[in-house]
Amino acid sequence: MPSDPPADAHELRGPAAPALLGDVHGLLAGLWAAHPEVGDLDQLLFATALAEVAANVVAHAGGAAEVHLRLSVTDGALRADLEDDGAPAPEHVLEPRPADDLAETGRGIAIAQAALDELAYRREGDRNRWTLVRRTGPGAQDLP
Amino acid sequence: VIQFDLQQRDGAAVVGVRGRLDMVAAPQLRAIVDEQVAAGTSRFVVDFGPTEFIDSSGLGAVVGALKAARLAGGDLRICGVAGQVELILQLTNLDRVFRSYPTVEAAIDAVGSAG
Repeated sequence: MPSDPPADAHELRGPAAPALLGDVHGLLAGLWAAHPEVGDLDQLLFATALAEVAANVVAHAGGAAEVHLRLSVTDGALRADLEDDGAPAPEHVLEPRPADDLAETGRGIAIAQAALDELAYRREGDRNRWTLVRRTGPGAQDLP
Repeated sequence: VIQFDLQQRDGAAVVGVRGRLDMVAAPQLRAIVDEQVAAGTSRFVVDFGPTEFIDSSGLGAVVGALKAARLAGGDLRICGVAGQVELILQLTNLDRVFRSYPTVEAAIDAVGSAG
């Protein structure tokens, strides 16, 4: 019999639809309530990055895709694992795009990268897997 | 969870962005600005004072609004920038594109003499 998730598990499952974005903010609010030791700047940067990645999934995975998001706070790091069974992310999604001050699209992934220490995307079989890590505490990087 | 508070003040359209400006809300902001431009307004103030959160889609809508305002012979200024809005403007270097003012009144004064 599978064991229950730990009481401090912060995760959600739902379709890759715009309503997911509100749910992500709600999940983060629960995470911060359970971890008051996480500083304001770390919270804002991590939330900003996760919102961008979630929006990217909503935009590209297709509304029929099912998303599974898990958040964790470990010693010295905030981590999000986001998986879905939808269409792959656009090719070269992690590569920087030419900067244009007055562009109206294309900033999302760059924002996430700037706010995180690690952003990884992998296509594994028919699943997309995103990993987001922001180190916190002593030795963590400040704003770029 | 978004609400736009639109006011006409001293020849400018002031748009208060209340809540979360994301990919759902961004087209609504663009529609408001486009309607105002069609009605003859070209000077805009976007008030981020009541804004909880903004993402890249929301930023894109504000950039689009800035371009629409300038194309119409006016301009767009922002105010009430703090917290996550300030952070994301810095991360994207858009703090160098948008002129930001501490109060709605200061932004209205500034945009009133623009264009």
